[in-house]
Amino acid sequence: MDFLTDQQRANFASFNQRLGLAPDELIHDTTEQHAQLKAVNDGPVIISSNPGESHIPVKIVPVGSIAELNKMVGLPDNGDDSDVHYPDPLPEHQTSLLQTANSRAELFAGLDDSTFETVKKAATAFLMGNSARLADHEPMINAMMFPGQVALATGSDLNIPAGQTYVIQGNDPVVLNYGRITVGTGAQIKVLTDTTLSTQIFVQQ
Amino acid sequence: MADQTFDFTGSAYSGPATQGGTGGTGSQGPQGTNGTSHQSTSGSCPWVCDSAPTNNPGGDGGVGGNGSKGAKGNAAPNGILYLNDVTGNVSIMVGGGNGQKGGKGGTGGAGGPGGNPGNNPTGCTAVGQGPQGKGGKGGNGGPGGDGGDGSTVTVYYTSITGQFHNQTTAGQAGNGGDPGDPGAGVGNNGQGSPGTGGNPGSASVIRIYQTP
Repeated sequence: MDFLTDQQRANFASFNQRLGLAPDELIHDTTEQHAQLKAVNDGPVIISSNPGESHIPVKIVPVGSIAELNKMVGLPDNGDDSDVHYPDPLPEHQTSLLQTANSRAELFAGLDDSTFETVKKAATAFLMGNSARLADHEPMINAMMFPGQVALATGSDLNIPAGQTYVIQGNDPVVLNYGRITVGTGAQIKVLTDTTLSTQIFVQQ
Repeated sequence: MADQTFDFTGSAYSGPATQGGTGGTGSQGPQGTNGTSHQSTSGSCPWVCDSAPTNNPGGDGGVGGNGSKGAKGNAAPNGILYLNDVTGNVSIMVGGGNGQKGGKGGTGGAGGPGGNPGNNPTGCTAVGQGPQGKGGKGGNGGPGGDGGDGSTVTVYYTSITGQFHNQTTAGQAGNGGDPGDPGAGVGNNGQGSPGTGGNPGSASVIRIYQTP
């Protein structure tokens, strides 16, 4: 990645390491990828957490807990959280299920519909805001949503040709780390699943 | 050409929710009243019809089932973008997906077959089977789904030669389902009522920070 400064290369390496990758690890060769993508002419290019449907190679990484995911992609705890919605604590009759349920299926069977919504919001707030404020929710988040996985894609250069659409999708979060991303005129990145994207240079033509 | 560099809008539904079931067919009408007649004692003793046989219409078709409620719109995904050195204008759109349209009401059931005619005695004129019953009323359209939940997209950058253009939208409430059609028959009891609309989704937020 000769087009990056030393500082940018260091930033790229640091983000890779945060994801648990080697500092200079590239999950796919960008030049090879662009050659392959020329064959995907008629529809959008898919980057998916389901490797079977992804046109760009992804690496699936297991994630054991919300804290582990937060280390990978979460925002700093001391950041601006004025827009973050911190849900109220769950009622006792819901949290007590963590001690009494013998399986995840049994846990889910005993949860109110509102609990699913609350825990989902708590998980989002854990990543986007101050995770310390979600300590009471953490056991239920982990019980309901983990272990999980994320899909990683890293490369030197991602070039989205003019007019083309890249779609980021799948049932699990997707994390991208590139040296440079170039979006051609009228091109678009359509995001359908929770996504973290890091690039040292971003060009919108 | 696309207008947005990044589009975090929840995906749309390809069609409405499930249509309600068709109403049941009406029951056959009861048999008509038998005719009566007597033989005249005068002249050549012709048969005189006292009361002609009758028939009855079939029963009304059943009301169609109500359409299913539309599903809640797909939530907007959350995003964290570290764009660092940016060249050009970057546009970002975030919003929950629109709620699904409610299902169409089911078609009303067909009117039942007409009842058999009463017996036709000598001297009376026969009548045919009764008319088909009225078609059943169509079912009501299902309620539209609520708009999808919004999300938060956070952007970090160090420099930009152009500008960020942000647009947040709330997932629109799904439209109520179309009313069901009345069933077939001699006349009908009309369409169902259209479904009611859902509620809009929650708001989204775009946060943009310049970092050293």
